[in-house]
Amino acid sequence: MQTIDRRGVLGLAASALAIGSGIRSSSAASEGIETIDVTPALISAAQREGKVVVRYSSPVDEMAQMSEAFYKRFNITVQADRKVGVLGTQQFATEERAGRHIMDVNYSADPTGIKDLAEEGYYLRFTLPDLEAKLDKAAYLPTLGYCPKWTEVVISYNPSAIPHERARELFKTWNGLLDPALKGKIGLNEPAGGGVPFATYLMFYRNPQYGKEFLAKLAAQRPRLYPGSAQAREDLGAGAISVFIPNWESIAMIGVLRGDKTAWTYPDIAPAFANTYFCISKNAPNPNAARLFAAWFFTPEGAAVMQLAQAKPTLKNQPEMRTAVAELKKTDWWRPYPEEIRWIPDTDDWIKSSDTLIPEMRRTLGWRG
Amino acid sequence: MASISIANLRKSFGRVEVVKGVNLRINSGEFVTLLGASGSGKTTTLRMLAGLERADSGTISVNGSVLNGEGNFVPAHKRGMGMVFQSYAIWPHRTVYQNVAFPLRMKRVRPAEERAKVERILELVELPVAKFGDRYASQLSGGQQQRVSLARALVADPQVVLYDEPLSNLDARLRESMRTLLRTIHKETRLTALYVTHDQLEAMVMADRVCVMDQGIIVQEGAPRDLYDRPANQFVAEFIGQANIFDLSDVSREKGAVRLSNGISLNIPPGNWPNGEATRDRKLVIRHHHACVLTNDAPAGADNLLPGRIKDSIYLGDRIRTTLTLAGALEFVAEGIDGPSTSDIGKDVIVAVPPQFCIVV
Amino acid sequence: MMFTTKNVGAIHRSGEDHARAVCSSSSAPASIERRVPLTEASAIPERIEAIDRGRSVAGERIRAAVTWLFLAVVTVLVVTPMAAIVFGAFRTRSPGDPRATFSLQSIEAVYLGLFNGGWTQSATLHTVLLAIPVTISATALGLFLAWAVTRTNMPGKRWFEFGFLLSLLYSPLVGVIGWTVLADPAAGLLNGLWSALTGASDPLFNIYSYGGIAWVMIFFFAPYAFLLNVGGFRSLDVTLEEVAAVSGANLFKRMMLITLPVMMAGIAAAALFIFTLALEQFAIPGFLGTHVQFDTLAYAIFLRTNAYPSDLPGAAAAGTLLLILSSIGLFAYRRLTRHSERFVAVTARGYKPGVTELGAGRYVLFGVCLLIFIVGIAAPLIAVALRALLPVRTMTFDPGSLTLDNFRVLFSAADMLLGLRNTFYLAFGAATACSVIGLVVAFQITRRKSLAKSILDYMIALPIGVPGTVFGVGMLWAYVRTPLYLTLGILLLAFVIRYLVYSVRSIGGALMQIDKALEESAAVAGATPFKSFMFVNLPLLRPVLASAWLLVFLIVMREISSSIILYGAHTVTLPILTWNYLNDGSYGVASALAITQIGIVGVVFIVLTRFFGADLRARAAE
Repeated sequence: MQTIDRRGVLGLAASALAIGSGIRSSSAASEGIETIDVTPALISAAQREGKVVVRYSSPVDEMAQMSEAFYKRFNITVQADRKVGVLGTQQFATEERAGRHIMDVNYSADPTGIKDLAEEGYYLRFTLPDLEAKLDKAAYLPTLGYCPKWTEVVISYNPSAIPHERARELFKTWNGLLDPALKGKIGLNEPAGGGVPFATYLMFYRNPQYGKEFLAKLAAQRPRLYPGSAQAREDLGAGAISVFIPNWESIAMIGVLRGDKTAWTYPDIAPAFANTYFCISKNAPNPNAARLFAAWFFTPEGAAVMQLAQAKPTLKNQPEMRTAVAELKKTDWWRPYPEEIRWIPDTDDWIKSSDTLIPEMRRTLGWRG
Repeated sequence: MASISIANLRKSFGRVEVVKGVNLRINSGEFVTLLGASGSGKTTTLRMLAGLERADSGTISVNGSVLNGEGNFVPAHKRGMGMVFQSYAIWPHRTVYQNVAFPLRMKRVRPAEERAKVERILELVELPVAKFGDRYASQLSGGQQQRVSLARALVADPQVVLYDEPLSNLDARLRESMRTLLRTIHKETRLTALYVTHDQLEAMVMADRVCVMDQGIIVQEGAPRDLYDRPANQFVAEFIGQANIFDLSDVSREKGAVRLSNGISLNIPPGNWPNGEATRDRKLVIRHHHACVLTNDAPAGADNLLPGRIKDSIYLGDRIRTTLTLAGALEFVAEGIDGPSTSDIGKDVIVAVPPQFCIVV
Repeated sequence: MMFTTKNVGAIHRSGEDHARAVCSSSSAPASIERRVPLTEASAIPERIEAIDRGRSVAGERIRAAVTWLFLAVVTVLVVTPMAAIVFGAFRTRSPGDPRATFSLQSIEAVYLGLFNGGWTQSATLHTVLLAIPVTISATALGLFLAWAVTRTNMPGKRWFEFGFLLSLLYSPLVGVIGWTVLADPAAGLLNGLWSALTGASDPLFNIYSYGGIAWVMIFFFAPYAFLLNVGGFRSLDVTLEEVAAVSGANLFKRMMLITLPVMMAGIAAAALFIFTLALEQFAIPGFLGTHVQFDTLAYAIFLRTNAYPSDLPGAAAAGTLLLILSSIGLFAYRRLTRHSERFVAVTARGYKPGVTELGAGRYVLFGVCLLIFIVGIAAPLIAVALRALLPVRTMTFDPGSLTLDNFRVLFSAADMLLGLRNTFYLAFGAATACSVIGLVVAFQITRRKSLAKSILDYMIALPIGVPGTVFGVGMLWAYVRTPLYLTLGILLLAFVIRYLVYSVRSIGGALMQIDKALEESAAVAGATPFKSFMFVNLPLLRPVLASAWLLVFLIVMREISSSIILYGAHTVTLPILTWNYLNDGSYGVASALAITQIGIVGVVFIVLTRFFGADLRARAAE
């Protein structure tokens, strides 16, 4: 391990080199916002660095496939460091404040933390060329974080407990969950258990056809509460519960490929959001590789890699190439994601209300205090 | 008061048979010592009597009721005995009073009676309750701990008291005072007692009867004086007291004489022969202090005179130990009161051994 | 015994008190048992001492200086992360954040919250309601098993001795998987069997309940009480029990009135150990408790570090609350064991382990132990093994669906070998470091008392009093600037700091049981403290050192909560891999990893017990 000072100097030198060679300064440079495009110059500068350090909270398999593809394409090693939840952001903050520049890219799910750290100047302000054409507004935190895949919430059920026709009928809306037959058979991811459950409960709060009362009605169904979605999916497959919310489609697809006995439907409205963002450290020790990594997954080539991991790319007009979809098309119950149900949470609302709403939601679901 | 009867008791640990058929009777009120070297099986015998070990075969009965026999085993806590361990075994988390009161509490004795009994017994072992009652073991000396242990063993009026080398951890002075204390107590109480020790002096001082154990069996038992004066075999002779032991080249009971390997013949009175006819491997035993070193000429008509030369002599305060070389390179040790010239090394002398002290084993 | 020189006799003539003064260097009440070694040994050393005097005074100073330096380093290491945590608790934001200011807000939210319905109120209540019964039951169960294995003639003892420790080989998460497979009220295999047999519609077991959580925790923690007391039972002076038997106390009374009180130091240490573990355990109540809204403090803290909005100052503040709770446990332990001399059970005399002959009762005991083993340990383990062989969890058991796919996935994973290697480095390293440092610290604390050392004694207990995640955050704050950061070194340091208390306590407990006379007699015989330590204490301590080593080894083999904060891409460990697989829903692969880990650790364990098992037999032959 090198000393901090030396590392800092090296980092600066590398940045200088990067600006001179690979990174194209754009018109936005006056505002300090860099446009990152995947150019041969960037690629060769990144290759000279030879590696990129990524913190991530997404599934291990997905990152393994992303790393492998990135290495195959560019011969650049991805050192992937998994930190679930907000830990990655916290760790990065602690490092940077102590003057340690270790991480290049953060691929994490903490918009509050990302904004905080950007204000402190630890994240690079950047954008992608032709952003409007490439990505939906909901898929990025402007100038800061860009999300390569959609998280699309669905209602998962166990077909041996609820037949497909019955499920499609019942779960046309979320109100189907209030069916008395489902009492004690619903699994809920608890509100503090991550972005997906919070987004879903926030959707109830923000849409008058459900409202915050809906959560109380759900609570009256005596649901099982899960700290994480993985345990709930496991229980759903085993038949311990008949229905689980909120699940999301890409992860459910991985389960189908593995042989999980679960299926899902799309209700009238469902959160679809950018759960995890690529952010680049301003002091990235491998600045070019960091930029290449963050930008490449928004090219058709990179988006295809996301599809390899069964994720749905945010890149517009990307043809469907997921193997799970091919499998699902053979079933009689699956249909493609209906775009009209997409509800995109407002990031500002999210950041402002999570502090107060999470405890309130937990209280509604039966926690004391 | 209880009498004990032990018949054909056997015990093995793994493949090693430690006790190989012990027979022993202890009369009511008798104080019997089991004397033996370590590994002789004496402690195991005691532990079987206490109920701490189960006999492989044989019977133990107290007052005619069988404690350990065919398909019958009364556990230690139902035997109503008292026991004193070599390690004292004072419970470190309890005070002196609580240690001593424990057997009474197990018998559910009323508190007032308990108090009285504990006070009396602690008085007896010279640890007045007022001064020592609230102390813990760590605040007591070894001698005091052993007295607590003794008090605990005696407090509940046991049928039998068992002692497992109780004094061997104490230094000589304390040992002597404890011996005296034990003797006094047993003279007073006349409790039936079995006392295990490897110290012959202790055995002889304490006991009405001493049983010598060797390799898992009792080789000889009797009053201390009998054992001392009439050892049944070489082991006993050597283990109890100190003796000169000689191989014999010729043994003739009819003539009442034996011949040593150096050719000297000694007269043996009829009472000093062992039972049984076998004459092979007989030995002659002469206690050190039964021999007298004569610097002058021997008195006329004296029997059993051995000429020798003084090789070494040690002053022991109350007596003197003289080592002599006899003819045929035999060595002889004599102990007696200090006399003139007995310490002149190299001097030729005569050792006189009265026939009544020559014992054939 | 004969006295050969006059001056020895002189010591004795002047009486016991004089002897005590001569041979007792400390002011501690002198046990007179030390007199025998003294009489044998005191003549020669006087001469040696006279020759050595000049050299040994300087040597003494150097030794003292080295000792103090060593203790100071240990103190600084231990205090640093704890200080970071306390500092963090008084900030508005994480330390280092330029916007952070000093504030009581987190402290108030945690402590006033206890009374005005804050986030800590019900969580704290639940934590205590869980920790106390679990501590008592697990300690009692572990003691019972330790007694059965060491002090009876029950058949199959050696197998049980291994079997009862099996659940130490895997993480609590694995236990949760196993129990969920078995006792889920809707899909548990046992409940399925029950319904099939009786036609009952109500489940027999519900693992998602207070009772279920307590049940899993009791079986999870009982092996610690077992492990920590096996040595105590083995080294207990049995004549203490035998004299009670002769005095009329039956087996039960001997146990309650003599054995357990005499072993109280070890038992209290085990109970304290379990109590702190139960307080900071988040996985079991976290996974099983959310279903019934049963929050514990450790889980609530975990959420604050792991879910958003994150609240590290709040987590740190709540960490101090848990620290206070565990300190109450520590205080109780101190009260119980304050008279160390009352737990002296291994005397200078030497001892032999005694076995209670149980007659036919030994088969009854065997049956009870077998039942405990099957119900508490084997059943969940079999369930985990089953899960490892199934692609997806099912409600019914179909032998046709068994497959090794999960193992294939596991062994083709890139991190598997790296994780295995790292975990072994850390477990071996931390166990060895804790044993060595623990030996020195324990000796200093129990034998050469001073105020500073008493403070150190309290200090080393602090890191285990806070939940692992909070401790990890403290380590992160404290060490992010050092070259140790993101290396195996920081994990090793974290484990040593956190688990040092275990080795110090168990070694200290054993030292309390070894009569001071033993080492003092060696000292009188002219041995330096180091030599007397090496020749007197070390051989006697070998079994307890071995079990302290093993304890830390096993804990590190499954440590998650601190590692999760401190690990990096190159320092991933097996428990972290398990955690990641579980997080991704790969329960099958996580189970396969657990089974693999149990296999590997089991082999290490067997190899080790062979070594010190032989050692124990040697002691039994004395």
